[in-house]
Amino acid sequence: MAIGSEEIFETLGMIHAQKLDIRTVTMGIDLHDCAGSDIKRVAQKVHDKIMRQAERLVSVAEEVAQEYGIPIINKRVSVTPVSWIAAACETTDYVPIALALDRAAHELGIDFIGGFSALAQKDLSRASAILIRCIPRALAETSRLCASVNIGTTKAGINMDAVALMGQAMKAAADLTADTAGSACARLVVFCNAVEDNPFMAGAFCGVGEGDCSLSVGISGPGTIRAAVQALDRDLDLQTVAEEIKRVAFKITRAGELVGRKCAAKLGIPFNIIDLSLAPTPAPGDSVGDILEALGLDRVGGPGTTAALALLNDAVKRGGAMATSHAGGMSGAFIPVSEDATMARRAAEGFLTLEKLEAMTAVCSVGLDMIIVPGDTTPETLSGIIADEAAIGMINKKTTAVRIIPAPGRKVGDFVDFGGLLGGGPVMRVNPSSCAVFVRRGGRIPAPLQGLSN
Amino acid sequence: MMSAKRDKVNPNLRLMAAHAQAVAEGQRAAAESRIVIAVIGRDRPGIMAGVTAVLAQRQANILDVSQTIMSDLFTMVMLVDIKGISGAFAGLKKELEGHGQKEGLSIVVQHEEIFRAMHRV
Repeated sequence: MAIGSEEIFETLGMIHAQKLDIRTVTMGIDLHDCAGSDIKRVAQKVHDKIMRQAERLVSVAEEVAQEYGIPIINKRVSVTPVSWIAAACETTDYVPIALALDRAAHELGIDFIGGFSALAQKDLSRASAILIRCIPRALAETSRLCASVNIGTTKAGINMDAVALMGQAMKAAADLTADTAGSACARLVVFCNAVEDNPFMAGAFCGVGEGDCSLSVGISGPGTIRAAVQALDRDLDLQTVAEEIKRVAFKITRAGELVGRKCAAKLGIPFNIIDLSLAPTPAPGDSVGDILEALGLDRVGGPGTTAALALLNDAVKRGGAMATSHAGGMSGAFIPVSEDATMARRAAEGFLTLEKLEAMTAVCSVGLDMIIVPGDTTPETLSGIIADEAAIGMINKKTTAVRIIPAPGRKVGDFVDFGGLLGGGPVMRVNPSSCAVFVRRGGRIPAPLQGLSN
Repeated sequence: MMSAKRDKVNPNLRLMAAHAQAVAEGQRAAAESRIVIAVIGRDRPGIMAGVTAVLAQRQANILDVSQTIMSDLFTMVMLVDIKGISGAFAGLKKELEGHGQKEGLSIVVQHEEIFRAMHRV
């Protein structure tokens, strides 16, 4: 059937009034063939390979955005975790590779490059330990590089030695960028059950099971879902509401898949996955918090929030799964604080707390995200928060992540603005009870029975 | 009983179903070379003439037009085949958008595929 004017104006409304866009097209590039013993040579090879593979990424993405009239906000690259590529290097300093990655990102004109990463869910290899030690400097000396470390899985348990190191790394990264309120931590994620094909930053890397080069897409669209929910009568039952969310998620996903496929075809590389996550932005109305409030909560963070989020998350997945056979990555609602104006406002008002956010992460992707905490939060407390979040992921067989910023010199109630997509938010209260003895025990939290699924 | 009834489906219906499928496939294939132009602005004489003049100059072929006035607002949606146009799509899009800016109209130009992807299962 021909497309009717009504459908055309609906799409135009979604794009122009409700801020429907493609959050990111992310090119995954395998770097295994860049490995070697001389770090300088490895760094050069890494830089050259990325420049070669992603040369046309930005221009192709802009061309496709023009043709289909739908903005692509970010162009990104994810690479093989650097701890694997650098393992053979005869050095204890991986920062040269970080600089090479960042230089490539600037020269290509892409927004972020991810993969200064290590997988340390069971034990710390020499390379993983070196990489984690290098993270603070790598982030402080770059502006587009993203780092991530996987410290637990449902199959392996939680590596508490790595958790302890990550608490220290987070703190050190914040202190090295004290002049920008610890902004380096906005580019650092600690995962449990990390996924290998995630197109979203800061946690994107190109997993070992991936191909040489492929393209993945991260959709956006909280604004369109909010508009659809707001248009419904306030006394409609929740099944009907879930159905409406599903319908909108279908349309958003189809738009994302089309854009991803066209970009991949023009670049001559395989289309990999579409991530069905709803990624909010600080722009008014483009907020997951707004959707939850449109569902009938006075203020997000209050009673009912976790249930509303569970409904939203599932409905988005249902619509998305119908729309594409290539769902991957995180695929769930994101609940960052600083990147979502309504979430940030409710946190500032005291309705949304760190503890409530932790509960919410049990029913959605991904975790404690873009949360600003006081600068005097100890590394052990940061590690305790990481371990709590990882435990939720480990037991529930899902991905969880921690991206928190211990903003140097800032106290509870201060407001920190990072600008751009990272947004801004209040410094949130952290429970003052110490977990130092627990964290210093080290070792590994054994894999749970849930991991014995064979 | 049910299956016996099914066997007796009117052959005309079967022909129609086959025709509908062929049309749908044809539309999907053709969508790549077709664009949708949406024009919105305060109603006055000559809006359509202005837009179609730009298209004619570029040898773009208008396949379908739907136009209404909603509370003084002129809204028009055009389906246009750009297979044989002179120059590239980007140039035509820029020209149309420029025309819109000059005339105080909102003109949005997009490939038809995006609508097909979003609104058809």
